[in-house]
Amino acid sequence: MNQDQLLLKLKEIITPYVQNEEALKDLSEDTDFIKDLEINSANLVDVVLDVEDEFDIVIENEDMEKMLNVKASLAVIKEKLNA
Amino acid sequence: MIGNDIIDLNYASLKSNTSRKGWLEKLFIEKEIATINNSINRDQTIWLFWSQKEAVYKAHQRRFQFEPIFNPQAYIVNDNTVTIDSYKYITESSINDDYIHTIAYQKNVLQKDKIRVFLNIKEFNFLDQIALKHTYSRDELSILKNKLGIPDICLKNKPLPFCYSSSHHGSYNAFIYI
Repeated sequence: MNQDQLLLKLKEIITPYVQNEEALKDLSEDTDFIKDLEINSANLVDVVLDVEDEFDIVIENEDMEKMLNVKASLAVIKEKLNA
Repeated sequence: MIGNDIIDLNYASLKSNTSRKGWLEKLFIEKEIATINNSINRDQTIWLFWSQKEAVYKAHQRRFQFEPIFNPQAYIVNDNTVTIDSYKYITESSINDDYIHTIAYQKNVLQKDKIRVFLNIKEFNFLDQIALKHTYSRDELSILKNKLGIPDICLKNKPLPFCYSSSHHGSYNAFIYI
């Protein structure tokens, strides 16, 4: 999966939790889950669980810590897929 | 330092499936999960613990000005205290059928009764109150966030020496300051 495909998959995953739909239109590596998309902090865990299910990977606490924006989340997914 | 968090319980039950496999395990440590599973009102205990962790995270982030991080398990709930690393905070929660509101403050540092709490008013009206109480010009007051996302009550776009925390969830808002 290339970067664009990963971003598209991630977008699908986060969409149900996004409260600012406008910001979703301009989704990029720089998009922040809480500040830009207004995802509720209690739903960050759902994003993490959905990522685990979708990519069949296990996300440890030290990886989950960083998953507050698109860039860091893509980096975690890529690292796990290549492991 | 102070922090606060409000949870709209109806909204929370719509937005989160707390029975989802792995959900509790990502947010809570074993001891907290045991308490949750032994409690009479499981979901209420979940959201109480979550609001305690969130309120303390906000107080702690304001105190040390660190980049946002999603590490709820590092905030360990024990009755009305929450410990993060070697730092201890006291929490006080009001709970009813509609919402849970928790405020957090540092042990031995703050007089809890000095904390002013505003529930379920709009940010605009909260600033009206601040202007009135402290005789500021209302037009010059605003809430601004720094680059870490930490909000401050500002006068002419400069942070005032208040310690402030806000929370919004579903239909509820809470603002506290000291």
